[in-house]
Amino acid sequence: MKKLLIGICVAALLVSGCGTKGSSSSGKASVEDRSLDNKTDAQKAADAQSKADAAARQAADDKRKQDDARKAADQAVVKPLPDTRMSAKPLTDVASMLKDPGSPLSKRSVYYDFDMYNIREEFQPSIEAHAKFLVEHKELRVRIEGNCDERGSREYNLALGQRRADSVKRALTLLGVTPKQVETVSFGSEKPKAIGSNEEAWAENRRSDIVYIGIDSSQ
Amino acid sequence: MKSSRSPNAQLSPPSLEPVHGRRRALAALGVACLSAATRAHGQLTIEIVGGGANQIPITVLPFGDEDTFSQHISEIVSADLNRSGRFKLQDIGNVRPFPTEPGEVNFRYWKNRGNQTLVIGKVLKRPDGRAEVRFRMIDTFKETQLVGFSYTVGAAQLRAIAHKIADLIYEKLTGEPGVFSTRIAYVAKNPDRFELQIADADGYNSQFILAHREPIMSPAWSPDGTRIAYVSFEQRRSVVFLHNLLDGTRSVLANYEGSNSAPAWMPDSQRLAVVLSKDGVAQIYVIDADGKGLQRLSYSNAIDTEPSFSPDGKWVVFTSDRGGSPQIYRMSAAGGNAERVTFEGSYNVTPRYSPDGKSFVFIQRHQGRYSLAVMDLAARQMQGLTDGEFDSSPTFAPNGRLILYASIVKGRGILAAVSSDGRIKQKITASAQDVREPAWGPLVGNR
Repeated sequence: MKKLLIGICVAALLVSGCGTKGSSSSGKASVEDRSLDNKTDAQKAADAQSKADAAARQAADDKRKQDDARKAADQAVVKPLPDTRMSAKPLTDVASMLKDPGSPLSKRSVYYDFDMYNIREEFQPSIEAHAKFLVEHKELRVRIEGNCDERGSREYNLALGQRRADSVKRALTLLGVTPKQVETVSFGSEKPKAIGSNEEAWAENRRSDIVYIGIDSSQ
Repeated sequence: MKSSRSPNAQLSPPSLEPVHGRRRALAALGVACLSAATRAHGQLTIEIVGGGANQIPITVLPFGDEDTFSQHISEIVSADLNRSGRFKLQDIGNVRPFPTEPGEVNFRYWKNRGNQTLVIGKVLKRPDGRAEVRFRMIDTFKETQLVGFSYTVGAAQLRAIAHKIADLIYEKLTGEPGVFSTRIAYVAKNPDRFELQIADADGYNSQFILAHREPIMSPAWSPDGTRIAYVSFEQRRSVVFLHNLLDGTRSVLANYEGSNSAPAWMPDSQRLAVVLSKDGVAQIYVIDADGKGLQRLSYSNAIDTEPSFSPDGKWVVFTSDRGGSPQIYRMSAAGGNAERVTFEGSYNVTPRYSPDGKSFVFIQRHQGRYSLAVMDLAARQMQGLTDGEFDSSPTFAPNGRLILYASIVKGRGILAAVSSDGRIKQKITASAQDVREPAWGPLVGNR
C-alpha cells in the first residue's frame, strides 16, 4: 500500500514536472524566435543541441529521483515502527519540569527597579534557562506579562509594562527562541498582584511574568 | 458639606459582559431614570475641604412647595453654588413664609441684613403630574430682577432644572459658564469587576455604561459629548473602544498588536490620538473616529504617551521618557519636532490642556509624593496645586475653574477636586467602591 502510494506520488511529480516544463519552454520559445531572427543556422543548431542536452540531463535526473524514491519506499517498508511511548514527551512531563522547585525554570518572574525595564543580572540565569527550554521545546509558547506598581501615571505605566515584557522577549529571542513562541502583553498597573501602598507591594508589582500557554494558563 | 439625599438612580442587574443597551445609555444621560428610591452603590458623596477667597455672597431661599417633590430645588442649587467655591451662601433670615414672588419681597429687611442677591421661587404641581418651576434672582439693593425663568418639566427632570438654575446664577454673577449641568465619567473598581460610570457633575445619577471583570482605563469624552473613548482589557489585552452615548452602540477604535491606549480627542470630535506599541515602543498616532486613516504622529525610540490636544487643535502635549525620565513635551498637532516643557523633577506625567489653552495641568513627583501642578505655557511657570501622596488623572472642568483628579486615601481610590488656583479642595468618595480616572464631560446643549 505504502509502496503504491509513493509510486503514485513520484508519477504525479514527473507528470506535473514535465507539464510545467513543456508549457513554459514552448511559451518562451515563441518569444525567443522573434528576437533571435538574426541568428545563424550554426547558432540555431547549437541552441537546439544545448536544449536537447538539457532535456537529456533532466530525464537522467528524473530517473535517479525515481530510483531514489523507490529505494526509500523499499526501506520504509522494512523499517521497524518506533516505540512512540518511549520517544514522545507527554505534556505532563514538561509541566512538572517547569514546576520543579529545584529547577531555575520554576522561577517565572523578573523584577525591576522603579521606572526601569532593564533585566537585572540576578535574573539572567532564569532567562537563560527558559530560553534553553523553549529552544528544546519548539511546540511551547509563552506570554510575557508586564506589570508596574500603582504609582504615577496609569497610561505611562501601561507603556512601561509593555517595554518590560518586550525586553524579556528580546532577551529570549537573542538566546535563540523563535519570536513566534513569545507573545507580550502589558497590564500596566491595572492588575496588581500585591495589594497595598508600600515598598514591599510595589516591588512585587514591578514584574514581568513568563506564562506558559496551555500549562500556566488556558490561553 | 455633604450631599445627603439618595440618588434615585437604579442600577441595572450585575453583568460580567460589556453592557451597552439603549436603555442604559439613556439613563446615563442623567435625566431619565428617577424612579426607584434605593441608594445606588456607586453614589458619590462630595465634601468640600477648603474655602475660596473673594466669594460672592448669595441668599438662596427655599422655593414654595418644593417639598411636594422628592427633589428640593433650592437645596440642589445651594449645594451646586457652594461646591463651586465661588459663592458664600448667606443665612436665610427669619421672615416666614419665605417670599416666592417679587411682590412678596421685603426689600428693606434684606437690605438691612446685607443680603443683596436673593434667589426665590416656587414649584407648582400641574394636574398632569408635571412641575412648573419658577425662579428669580433679585438685587435687593437696586430692587430689580437680575434673571427669571419658568420651566415646566416632569418630576424626573427636577434635578436637571436645579442644575440649570445654578448655571444661570453662576454665569450671571461670575461672567463665566457654570458646569453644574455637565457630567463626569470615571472607572469604579468593585471586588469582582470594573465599571465605567457616568454621573452628573454633583455625583448623582451614577450609571455604568460598561462592566467587565477585566480592567477598564482612560475614559475620554468627545468634545461634542456624544461619545466616550476608553481602553478595555476585555480581550485580555488593551484595546481602544468608542462608546456612543446616544444609541449605546460601541465599536473598536484601535486593536493593533501590542498595547492600544491613551485615546485623546481632537477638538472637532472627528479624529483622535491613540498610543500604540505596534511598531516597537509606545508612540502617538492619529486615527479617524471610524477607525480609518491611521497615521503616526510621534517618532522617538522612547515611550511617547498621554497626548492632549490644545483647544484650538494646533498643539499636542504628551509624556515622553526620551530624555531618560518621563517629562512633558509639546509638538505641533501635525507632528514634527517636540519641545520639552518640564524640567523640574525626574517624573512629570499626564499633561492635560486647560480649556483656554494657556496652561496645562500635570502630575509631578516631588520627594516621593505624586501631586497636581499647573504650568503656564507663556510664562513657563509651574505652580503646585495639591499635596497628595498618590494624586493622578487630572481633568479640567469645561470652564477651567476646577480640576477633578484621582487619589488614594487609606488604601482606597477616591476622586477629589481642586480649583485651578489651588484654593478650594473637595473630596469625593463613592460608597464601597474604589473610584479612579475621572474625565469631566463638555458643556452641552442650550445653556
